Amino acid sequence: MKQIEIKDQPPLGIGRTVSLTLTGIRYRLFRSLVTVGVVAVAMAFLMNVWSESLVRGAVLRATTLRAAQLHQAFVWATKLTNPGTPDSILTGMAAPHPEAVDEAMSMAKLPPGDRLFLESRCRQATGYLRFFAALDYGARRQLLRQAQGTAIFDGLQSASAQADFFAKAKEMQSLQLPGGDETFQKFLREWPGVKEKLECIRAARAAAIAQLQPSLRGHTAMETLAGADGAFGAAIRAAGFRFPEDMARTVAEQARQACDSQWLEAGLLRPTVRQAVAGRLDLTLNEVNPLVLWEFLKSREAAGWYLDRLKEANVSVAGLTPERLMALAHVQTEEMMLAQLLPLEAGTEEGETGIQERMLWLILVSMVVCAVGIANAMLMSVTERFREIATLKCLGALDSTIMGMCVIEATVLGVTGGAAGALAGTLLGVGRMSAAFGGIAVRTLPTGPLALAMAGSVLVGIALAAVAALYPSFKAARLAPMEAMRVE
Amino acid sequence: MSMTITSANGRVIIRTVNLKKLYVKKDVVTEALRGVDVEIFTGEFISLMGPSGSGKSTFFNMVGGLDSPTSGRVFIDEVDVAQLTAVELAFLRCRKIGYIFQSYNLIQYLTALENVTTPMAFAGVDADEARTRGMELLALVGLKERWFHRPIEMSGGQQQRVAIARSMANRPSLLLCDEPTANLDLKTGREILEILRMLNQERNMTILCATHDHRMLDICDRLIWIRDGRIERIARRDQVQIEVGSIGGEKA
Repeated sequence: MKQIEIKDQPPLGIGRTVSLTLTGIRYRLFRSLVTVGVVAVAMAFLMNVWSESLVRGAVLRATTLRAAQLHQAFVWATKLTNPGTPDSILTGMAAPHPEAVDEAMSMAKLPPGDRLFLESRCRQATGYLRFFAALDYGARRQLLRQAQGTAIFDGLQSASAQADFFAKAKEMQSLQLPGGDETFQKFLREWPGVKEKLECIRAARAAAIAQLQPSLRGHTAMETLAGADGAFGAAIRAAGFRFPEDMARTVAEQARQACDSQWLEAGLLRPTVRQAVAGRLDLTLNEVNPLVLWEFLKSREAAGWYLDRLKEANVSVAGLTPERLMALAHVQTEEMMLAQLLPLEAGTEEGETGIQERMLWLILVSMVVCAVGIANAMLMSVTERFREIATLKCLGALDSTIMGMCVIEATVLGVTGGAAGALAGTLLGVGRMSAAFGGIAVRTLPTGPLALAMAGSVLVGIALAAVAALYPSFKAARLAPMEAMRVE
Repeated sequence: MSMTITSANGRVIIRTVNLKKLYVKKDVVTEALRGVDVEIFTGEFISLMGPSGSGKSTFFNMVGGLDSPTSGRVFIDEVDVAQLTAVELAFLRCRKIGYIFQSYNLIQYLTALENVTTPMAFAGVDADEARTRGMELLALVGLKERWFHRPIEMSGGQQQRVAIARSMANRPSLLLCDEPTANLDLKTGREILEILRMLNQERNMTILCATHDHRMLDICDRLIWIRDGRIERIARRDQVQIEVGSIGGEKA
């Protein structure tokens, strides 16, 4: 027999390690499925939170857009009666709508060279106003007293007020003006020029409104806007407003709808009509309101019936058909639904970081749950098998091979559980959001981001599984082979 | 003391020098081995006897490279086991020593053949050759027909035979058996002993076998008694058979 020569043991090939691990997983199918279940539940939670926030975001964007479109007529009705304040003009100039800036520049006959200066200073100004608005009440009161909006900049024009402001700002340790003190001082020096231009725009608007006054002929702006696709539209353009044809058509249609709706709702004020509607719907008189009315008018038969009641009450219904009523009813109910959704959106606007932070927090918690779950499952699976692991070590397995087996096992379970959980969580999230928001959630389903999020959460599942398996696999690899020698 | 007893056909394969092992758990110190000096020669069949708690298992772990001594040395073929790195120890366990356990310790999810070829996979033998050699080894222990069975489908005796085939996978120089027949009935126990004797005689395997089984006396070359962490007695079989009465007394 030859003398023993000791060399380094070669590691087991990856292919063989994988196949050994897979055979093991297949043999312990039930326990592996339980682990997969843990991962799947955690990933489903993660994906549920994620997909719901994606769907909610898409719905809100769509809602905001739709609401803005629906309210064009109201926007124009306001614009044609009220020249606005320096503050509202400032906000308009800072918003990313080049047409609105074009309109203001040309209406006030400002030289085009001023445009860049004006836009940038308006953005700077809104930036400062947002900064001051975000300060807590005490700090704001100390720095600015009662001043609000652009009055803040007006109040800081005198040298003494400025000195006072910067001295107080210095005292507040945590206060950091955006861009630093010098930038703000420079801005304050330029402010009178900016304000003069804003006043100039305001004056030009007031003049344009006055020019339109004869066209109204004693009607309200909304009633007149019903003819915005005709002569009135031309008058608006002549007064210097940017009012393109397609916008005119939309506004005219919306204005007509608004007027008709007003008429129809006003019909409810007639006692006979109100009584008839209450009788038909089996409600008390107090319960009859526009909300109920529009829901009721969605059917052709009901619309026809309501028109007859209005005729009986001698309300002029010229030009109104049951079809028109139905169309109005649909627009009105959609608007009411949007009105219910908009507070949600207000929430995002106000606490943008709030919602983000809460979502991040939820996701973080679900990841920790996931990691602990996988670590626990892997630890159990290692403890359960430590005789097997010790035996493998007696047969010549290296520590690295044992660790490799554990990590491969965790990864396989992570992929399976991650994929199953991501799918389940997405379906659940989308289902819940569809139930909450109805068709609008399905129409605006953000499929791209959802697919990305799913891929992301599967990756997260794998990573978590691999990380969570590190400790158990380390423990397994360090297990002394003599454990296998021990008698049961 | 063992120097006086030499084997006919061998050089020394295991040598321990003043082997000591302390287990310290909190404040309690247990002296499992209190200085063991043994020499075992190639081709020998040694029975290791002793009551439980005698240090028998500890001695086993030291010799098998499964645990390191507190002091003293273990040489396997003149290689000091304590000097080996983890990777070299794995090499030693894989190719030089075959282990047979009381509870067989087969991998539950592998078939008989896969169990036998696993150490070959660790040794880097390619799959086809491992398969051929695995089948030969299964034939040797009489389980050629059952190569595709999982441990759960086999009796204890069959499982132990697979374990023996597995221990022979990489042609080791030394077989360490830890109570190989303790979980088996008389008849299957005898079959296992028969296989071990065949390996010893036909393949000239060195076998070190911890046991309580009287029948081991019939086939071993020498007996070593361990008690309280010390070698109590070493004897050749022919010497023991003369004093069977006293053996029986000791074992009780």
